Amino acid sequence: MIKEQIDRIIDKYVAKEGVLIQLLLEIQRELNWIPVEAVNRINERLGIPVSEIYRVVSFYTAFSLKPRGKHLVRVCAGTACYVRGGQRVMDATEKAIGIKAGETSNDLEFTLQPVNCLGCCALGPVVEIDSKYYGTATPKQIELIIARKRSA
Amino acid sequence: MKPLESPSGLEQLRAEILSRKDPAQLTIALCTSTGCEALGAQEVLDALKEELKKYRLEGKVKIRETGCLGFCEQGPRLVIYPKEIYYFKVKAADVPQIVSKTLLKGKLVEHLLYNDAVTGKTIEKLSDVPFYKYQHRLLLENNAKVDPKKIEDYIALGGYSALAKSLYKMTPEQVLEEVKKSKLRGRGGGGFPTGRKWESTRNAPGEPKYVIVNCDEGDPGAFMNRALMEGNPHGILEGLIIAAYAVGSTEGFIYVRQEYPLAVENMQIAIDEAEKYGLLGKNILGSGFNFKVSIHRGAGAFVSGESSALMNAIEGKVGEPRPKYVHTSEKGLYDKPSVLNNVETYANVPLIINNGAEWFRSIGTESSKGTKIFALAGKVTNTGLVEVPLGISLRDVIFKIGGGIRNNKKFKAVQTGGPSGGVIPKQFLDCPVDFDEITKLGSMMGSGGMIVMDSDTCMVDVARYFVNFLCDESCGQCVPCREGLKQVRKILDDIVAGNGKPSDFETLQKIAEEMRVSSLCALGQTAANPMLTTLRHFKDEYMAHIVEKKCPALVCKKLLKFYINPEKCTGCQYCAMSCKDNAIEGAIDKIHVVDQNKCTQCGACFDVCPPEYSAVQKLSGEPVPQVLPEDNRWIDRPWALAEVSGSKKAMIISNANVAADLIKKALRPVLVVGSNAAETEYEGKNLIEYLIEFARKAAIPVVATGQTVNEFLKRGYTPSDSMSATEIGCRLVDPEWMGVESQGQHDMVLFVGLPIPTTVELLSGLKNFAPKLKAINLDNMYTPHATWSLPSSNVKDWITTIIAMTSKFEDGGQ
Repeated sequence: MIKEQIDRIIDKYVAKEGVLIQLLLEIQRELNWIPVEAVNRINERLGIPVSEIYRVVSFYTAFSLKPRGKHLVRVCAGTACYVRGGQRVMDATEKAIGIKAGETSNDLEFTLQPVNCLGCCALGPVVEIDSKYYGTATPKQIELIIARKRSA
Repeated sequence: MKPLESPSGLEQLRAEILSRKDPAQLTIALCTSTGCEALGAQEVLDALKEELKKYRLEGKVKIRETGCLGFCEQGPRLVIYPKEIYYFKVKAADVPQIVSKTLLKGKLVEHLLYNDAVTGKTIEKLSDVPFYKYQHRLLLENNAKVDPKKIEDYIALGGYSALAKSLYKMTPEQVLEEVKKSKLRGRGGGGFPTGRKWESTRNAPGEPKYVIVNCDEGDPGAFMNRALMEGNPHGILEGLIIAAYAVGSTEGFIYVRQEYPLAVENMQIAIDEAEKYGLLGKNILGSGFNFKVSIHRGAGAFVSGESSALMNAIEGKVGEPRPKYVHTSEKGLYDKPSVLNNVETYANVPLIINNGAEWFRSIGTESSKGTKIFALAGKVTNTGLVEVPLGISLRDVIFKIGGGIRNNKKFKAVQTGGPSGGVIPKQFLDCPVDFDEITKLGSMMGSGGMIVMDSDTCMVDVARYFVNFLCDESCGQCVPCREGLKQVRKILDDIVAGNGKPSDFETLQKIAEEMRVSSLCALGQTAANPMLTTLRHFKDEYMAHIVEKKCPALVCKKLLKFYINPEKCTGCQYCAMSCKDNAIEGAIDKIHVVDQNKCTQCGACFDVCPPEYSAVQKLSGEPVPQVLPEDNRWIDRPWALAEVSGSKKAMIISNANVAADLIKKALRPVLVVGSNAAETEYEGKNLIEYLIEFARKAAIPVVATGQTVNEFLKRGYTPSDSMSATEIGCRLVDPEWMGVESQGQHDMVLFVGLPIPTTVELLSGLKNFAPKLKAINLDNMYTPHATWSLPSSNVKDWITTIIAMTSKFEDGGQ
């Protein structure tokens, strides 16, 4: 199953130059993580050394070597959000989900990531939950959204 | 669409598009860029479509989704053409009014007009709004005029005429010369002259040559590249094609950071459209010039925005910088000569070609020409994107355009240039904004982020923030950057925790100098700037942290204590309800106290304490006063005891059937539950559980006050909303409030579990100010101010009534 899915993605990138990151991004998007099968398969089919694939995967924040949660919560830690209380929103989100920044909850429901800047600096603090942006976020608002996602 | 084969074909198409445009066409332009989206633009758009359908206006009124218009704080923003009516802070609930009043009757919806935060006055004309008045919007202006997903909109504005002019009337050398003469400097940070960059790539040996757009806008606090790419991608594309022509390149890349999905989407559409129209790809406009371009998405690494690192990333490798003695203009992407410029740099190119270098040079200062977009953010009144001629003073940007500091606080500093820049304190506010002047102050222009800080911002904390940021983002290749940052972070962590030493200053200076001299790339070389500039201008703040163990701005948690001033506390319970650590002890009508051993300094209590009381205070560097003895904390409150109901008294409901029937008749009831509800148990079940069952069966939305929400959540039920009792009271009297489910005003409210004085206060308010609202008191203490009330009774009778009432509902409220 998963192997076929990986193969189908790799098919699109065969015999092209400089594809590793774009290929991994697509796998990450489809599977929500980079399983070891994917690393091996890329190595077999594209001839890129496993060490190099791991180096790229571990360098960029977009990739995860562990499965990510169903809901991706990203709290902006950019400067503009920070001076307007972003850290407090982060603290509240950590408490609401019950995990620390950068972690995934055991039930695979939530992954919480700090992100350097979402580019909505005028609306800080900003939180992105499942690709939806929430401007001028308050700890209470985020707690409620998390609770709703949990019970949904 | 047949590809265009000549400039005259393009002109013909333009004429055709323009002739199709009806100047009297009713058009609504709504900003749907990421910023406004975060404030609910999608909901507004959906409501608009729905409402137009209702009035059968779909064919008559056009909706145009535009990119960012800059004034994000006031979003979502929409413009109604041809009258050019500007509405700000539009919500989905405002849409029916916009359609029925403005579109059908031509009247203005007053509360949506711009209300100046400084003067408090309403301004109708956009050109009079101070935020726009002092700007010079060459690049951003087009965002309002085009739908980024439609190439025809851009062509109608004269788009691609600069490309046609370059290809047919100019040689590549002439284009290069024009850009050189314009003195355009790179907008990404360093400010390197663009023409010279292009020239060295053009003259470098090796084929093919590459041109690259850098949209890895990693500097936190800058978002102009996102706005340009989301709002007017063709402007950037045209600039890129012209650059390719000038340097002799046939292939280009657009690198976009992964955090900008909409920018990728709009740019991809732009590329596809341009190819379809023959403006990109093979034989562009029939000139014989070929150029192809592809988008490369980043994968989240700040350092990848550095030019050589970005090229590594495009090659599919780890985005680490390369040694700088090899210039990327000669050996860049795949070791071929490559030009890399920022999004905003490319966006300027078509303007220069169309209007000439002379015109471009007339804007700006001696060394810095043209306009620059700044992202104004932080503690300033008007936040958003600001495009100004270079040379304007910082004071004008922050005070005239930005409207000064929020909440009448004092300006402390402005941070420019992101993590490589520095802070500029108030004595330099009159400094002109120009590449060289800003650098002289120890900061840099960077990509244009301007984060304004007020007296509540701790400068040591800001320095630590940036160092921490860079520590995470350092690629780790070279030792000075990787290890130097770690040591600096450790020292700053100690200082903000109150463990700093006076000798730290010297150590910090030494490490900073070492990093500057010996780091591989600009990230490490400039990493110490934020720390050095704060140290230079705000040494007294560092000293306060180190010597007095005090954070003057009251920010650094470990040096803070929260304290409730007994003189000011009114026993309202807000702070205790907000405290997640149970560190606040108190009751209604009792002075609250903080248990310093339990307090985690989260600050939630400070935020909720009503400003008119301001009882919760932050202390730093001083001892916390003794708390009052338990017996002295009670507050006498005669008003709560004398309760006069007036002539209209609540009718008593003694039969559960009657209660259920009354509730069934309501169109949109809402149940408000207070914290006392959780204290009642009956037959092994908590009242909250009985209420959940009731709310489910009767399909009534629940509003939980304060911490009561947790009582619901832990029992697996999510209330529709959570707010304080006072807030729900205020909302219920507001005729424009659309209810907790945004479906319309509530016509009935049921109260249970609120402290009795609160219920009395709320109900008497509703009785007088929301005459149409029916109120039912479900507590076991008769309250005369409700419309109907349960009688005073014991717990058994009370809960039995609630259970019986619940049983009268089939699932789903019937």
